[in-house]
Amino acid sequence: MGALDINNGRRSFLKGTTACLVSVPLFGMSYTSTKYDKVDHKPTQTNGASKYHFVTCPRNCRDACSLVAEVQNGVMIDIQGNKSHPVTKGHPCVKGNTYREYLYQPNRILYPMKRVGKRKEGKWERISWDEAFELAGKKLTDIKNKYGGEAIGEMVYSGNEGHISKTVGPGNLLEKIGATRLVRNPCDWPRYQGTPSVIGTPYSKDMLETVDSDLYITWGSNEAYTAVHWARFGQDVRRKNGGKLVTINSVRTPMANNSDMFIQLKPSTDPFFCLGVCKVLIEENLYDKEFVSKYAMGFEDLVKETKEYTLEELATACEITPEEIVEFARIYAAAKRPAIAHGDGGQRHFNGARLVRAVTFLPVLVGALNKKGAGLFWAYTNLGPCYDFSKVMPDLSPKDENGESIKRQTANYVQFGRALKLDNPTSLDTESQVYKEVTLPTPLRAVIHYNTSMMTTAPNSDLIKKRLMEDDDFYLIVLDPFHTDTVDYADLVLPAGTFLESEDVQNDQISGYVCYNAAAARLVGESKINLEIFNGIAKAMGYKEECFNINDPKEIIKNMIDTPFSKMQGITYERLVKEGQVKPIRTVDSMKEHFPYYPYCPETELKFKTPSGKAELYSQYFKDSGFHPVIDLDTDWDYYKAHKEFGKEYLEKYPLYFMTPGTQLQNNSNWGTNKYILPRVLFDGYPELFMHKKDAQARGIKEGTVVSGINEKGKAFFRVRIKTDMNPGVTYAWNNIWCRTTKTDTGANILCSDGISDLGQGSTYTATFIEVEKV
Amino acid sequence: MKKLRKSFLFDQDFCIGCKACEVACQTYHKQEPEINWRKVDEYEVTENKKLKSVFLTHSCNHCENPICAEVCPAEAYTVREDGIVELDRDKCIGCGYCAQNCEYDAITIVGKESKAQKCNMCTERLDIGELPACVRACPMGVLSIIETNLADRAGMEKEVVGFEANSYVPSTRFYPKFVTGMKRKEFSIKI
Repeated sequence: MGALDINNGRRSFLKGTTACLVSVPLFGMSYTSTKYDKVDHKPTQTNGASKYHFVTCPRNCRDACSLVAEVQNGVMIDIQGNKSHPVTKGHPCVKGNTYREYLYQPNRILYPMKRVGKRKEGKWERISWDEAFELAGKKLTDIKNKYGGEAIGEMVYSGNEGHISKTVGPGNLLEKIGATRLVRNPCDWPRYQGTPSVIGTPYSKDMLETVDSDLYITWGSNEAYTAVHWARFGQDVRRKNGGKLVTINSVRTPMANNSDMFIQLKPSTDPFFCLGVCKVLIEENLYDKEFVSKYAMGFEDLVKETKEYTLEELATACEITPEEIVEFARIYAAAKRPAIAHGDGGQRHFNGARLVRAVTFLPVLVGALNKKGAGLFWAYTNLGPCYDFSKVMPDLSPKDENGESIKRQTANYVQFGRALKLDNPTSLDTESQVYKEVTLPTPLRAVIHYNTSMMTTAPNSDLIKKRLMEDDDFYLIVLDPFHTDTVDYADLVLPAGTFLESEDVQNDQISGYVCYNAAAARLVGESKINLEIFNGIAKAMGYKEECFNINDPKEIIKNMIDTPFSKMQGITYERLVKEGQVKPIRTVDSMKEHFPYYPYCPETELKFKTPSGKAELYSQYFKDSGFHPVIDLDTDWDYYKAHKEFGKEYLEKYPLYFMTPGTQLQNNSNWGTNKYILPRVLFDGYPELFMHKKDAQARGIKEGTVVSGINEKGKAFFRVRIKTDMNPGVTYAWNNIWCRTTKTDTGANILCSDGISDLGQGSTYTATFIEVEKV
Repeated sequence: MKKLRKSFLFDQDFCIGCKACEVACQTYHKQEPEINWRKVDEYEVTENKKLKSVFLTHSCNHCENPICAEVCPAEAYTVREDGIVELDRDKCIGCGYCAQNCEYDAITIVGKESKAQKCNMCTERLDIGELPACVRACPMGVLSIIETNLADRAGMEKEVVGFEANSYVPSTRFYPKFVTGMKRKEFSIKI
């Protein structure tokens, strides 16, 4: 237990919080408030009996905040940011402040339940854990015996990024079953095609380097809402370093308001902009000739490509002016340490990988890659050598007669509705980076759903709903702390502990810490941690392997971080508990066995993990995949026009581009019913749809009008907010507002594209078109 | 030693409108969800012919001539030596005159008890050397506490987009407009 006192004064929440625990209504009650006895106008000091634990917010946000939970008698009475963590700096984000109310939310599920009515009817029967495990074990065993292990699937995403909660516990059970595993592709998969195609690395440099930058470019990212500490690092380049801040985004984000330059690109046209910038850098002789001649391959091909278009043509495609391209190129070339912080927004398009590839050209041209605080930064750092998962996840997968693992079918998150279809279920061919649809030989009969809420967060969610509503025999097991949208469709509901109640470790994506998470608070009600639940199901299925006996995460953590690299770096369980987060020091020397390429090679001797060893401005791989080998200029509009299931008529019928970015008040569906959050994300009972005045006027819509968003996937209802922060033709709604909190039980994800990106099999959430009508 | 007057100090140029200050005030006080002692507003302005949004976080401004204290028939308001305007809710009779007269919309009388309530700059925290809940929570470091005299000597402003200083003489101060190349001065306060 990590006892420490980061702040001297503490106040008493104990009385009220204890009372609130006692008064938590049972499952299924209204989710509007955690009742406190009264407002505390002058909170007083605590009596010194508190214990303090390090926890790490596990929401798949690149900040991975180190937080300190204050606990009395097993009840978390307060939570604050860890002041000694260089990213968190003592402040959680807006929603992190509400973790006490989150933990003790009235819609916590307190005990296992089985469905007794129809789906969505909300009729449940409380059962014991013994009954729950027996029921799950019997159902899954029956299905496995009758249809094979692959008839059992999983649905998971980033509700809890803890390695044990997300990977180890579920992985051991699902591998033993021989289940249909999930390709977890909503986020940033095109990145790992686009960026390595140029500079060979899937791993970003440590983004804390940007404290030394003199130009911070936030690109396709809204740090103010999705990674707030990086908004501060970015703005501090301007505020403290005397440097500049540039925002490139389709929406005028909060940071755009505070930027020296805001470039508002038409969605998915970033490659046009990049080509324009390359053109200016080359024609005005602003590129780093020494760097390019020493380290780049294909420069002549790029030069040729820049000559194919005028700056006007390129600017027009982006809906900006040529002057903006020129100004940006000059600012970029003039900076000594220009940093591009590239978000995931640009990737959820049909040209995601090509877009990322184009952006990766810029730091090559100005020779920024090997300068401290400069280059391209994204949310993935190399922590691989810190863990050895095989120590805690023995290979339990079904084998053939030669002892080889049998290749099994997979489903994927983005197209989960397609995988659930009884008639011709499909998913993607995992052998191919280019999207190829394959039929699943074994239809899914049961799904274990954990760390996500698919009815809120998966795209094209009506298709998922269809199978659930039409097939009463389909068996859905949901592990969740809360009564989510998905719980409404479950057959068996298992109360899972939150990260505040479960010990775990996870990764910090962008600075590269190994992050510890204590089981700070006592589990609410009869909840169990994910690990124990999965082990319980395994035992009920008769599995006897030793790994299913280990219910103590501490044992697993100690085991999995016992690697030569962690030893060398002094990363131990005890140190994690004491310090909360530990960062391995990644140097050329310490990384030479693991990734002896850029970004871990001598600054004066760069070696890229590409076929040529150079930064490839010409990519044979992209060419072989059917794309332009230099910079490819296809946009989402081109994709829709070219594909026969859509076509030009589709864009006429559904003319409004519809994006679903995140609000700062939720992270995916987390916090969706929190008493301090919910009133801020609903607009008089409806989720908000942000529209430009011009688009609204053309449809007779005003601020506050209730509208429906429609496309071929379905219909969702919103209340309109008129905004000026995007261009006409572009609309957006916050992603993942809970359907059941709205008046119509619908949400934006009903409309979202379940297409697959050009390369890397990523999602295309953002590449959605709709029409909006007054109701 | 005489306690120096204190002010909230806000840097509008770098606020992102995230509402951490609003929410942290609520969680700290276990507030009713619809009541905000501190609020964040958004304003649209045109700068260099381009539209942009700026944000203002505001609460009680702890005025030098607080109108709330002047109109309160129950004498529930007092001004501390350090300038903080405090409300004694035991004395409050819920008449609402203070809320009606405060031009900054800083006082609310809705809520379970139908009595006035407002920001007290977390005096209970300041008195033990800690920053107010909203200041502590600001992830951008744009909200702080400063000695009013020091703020004035350092050229801090009394008005900003969305905020006009009226005759009650609000104590809140604002950083001057930021220009690229400038480096923001940070003030440390001995509470």
